[in-house]
Amino acid sequence: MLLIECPHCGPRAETEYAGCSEAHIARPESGGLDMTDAEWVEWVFWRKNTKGVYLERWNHAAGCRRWINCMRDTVTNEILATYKAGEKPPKIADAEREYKF
Amino acid sequence: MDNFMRQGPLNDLGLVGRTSEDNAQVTMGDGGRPMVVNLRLDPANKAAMKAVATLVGVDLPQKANYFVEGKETEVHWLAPDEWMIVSQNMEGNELVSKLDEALDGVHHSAVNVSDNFAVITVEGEKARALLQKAIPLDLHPREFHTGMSTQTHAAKTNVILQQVSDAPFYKLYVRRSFSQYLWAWLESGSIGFGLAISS
Repeated sequence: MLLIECPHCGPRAETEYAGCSEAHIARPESGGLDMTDAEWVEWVFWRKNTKGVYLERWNHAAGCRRWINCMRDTVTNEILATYKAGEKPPKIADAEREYKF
Repeated sequence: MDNFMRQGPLNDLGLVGRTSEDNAQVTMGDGGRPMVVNLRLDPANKAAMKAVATLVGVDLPQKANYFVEGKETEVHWLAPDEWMIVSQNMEGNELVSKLDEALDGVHHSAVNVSDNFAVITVEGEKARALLQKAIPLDLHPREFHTGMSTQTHAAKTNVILQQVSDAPFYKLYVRRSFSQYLWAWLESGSIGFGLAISS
């Protein structure tokens, strides 16, 4: 079982969390009124499928129930960092790992 | 409603008539029906925090995973802006209306959640060994000790786990409808330790 650091509660077991897709997707500034259907689909449904370091939103469902952000390597399933919702992702030492395909 | 009129979900288990095993190393019991209010408030609002502290008689804890004890109140940290207030002398609705009054004009939420909870008490020399079977947290005193309270899961159900004393004595606040499940789980987990039922 993975031990994942919650920025509020400290290190907790993986089973306390729910992982929920890509982080840092900004709500359209216009409120969406001038968006086409295609743009809506893009915003609501389409997500990156990164091979490597990926930024995700996680919910500490069985703990403080707060949304947090998680930097995870999708190849190794290694959790590189967790940080509070609303914060910028931290720099990681090994920038080489940010490979994309 | 008078407290004695409220039936707890563990009443159905007939714990009163149960006999304890010889040389029991774990004691479990029904922790009764607490009077609980869930409070959400911005901790940056010092005046509002002070108003609540004056009302409940103790400062709201801001340290993660701890609870503080007042004379007739316990306040548990649940999240950076969320607390559980367990009162011994005030009905949930009464406390909610007093909180709403004290926090008039402040963005907050106070909800009476008394009927949400059943409390299971676990104590004795094997209490930690028993809970450790169900809970993924490290319960070693170096990591989790008296004065701490946290939300986690025990077996498949969410609980608020509180360590009351070094005995060790734990309280598990569990959702009412899951309480019989958790009791049954812990009881079967206690096989080999010997189980006593506290009255």
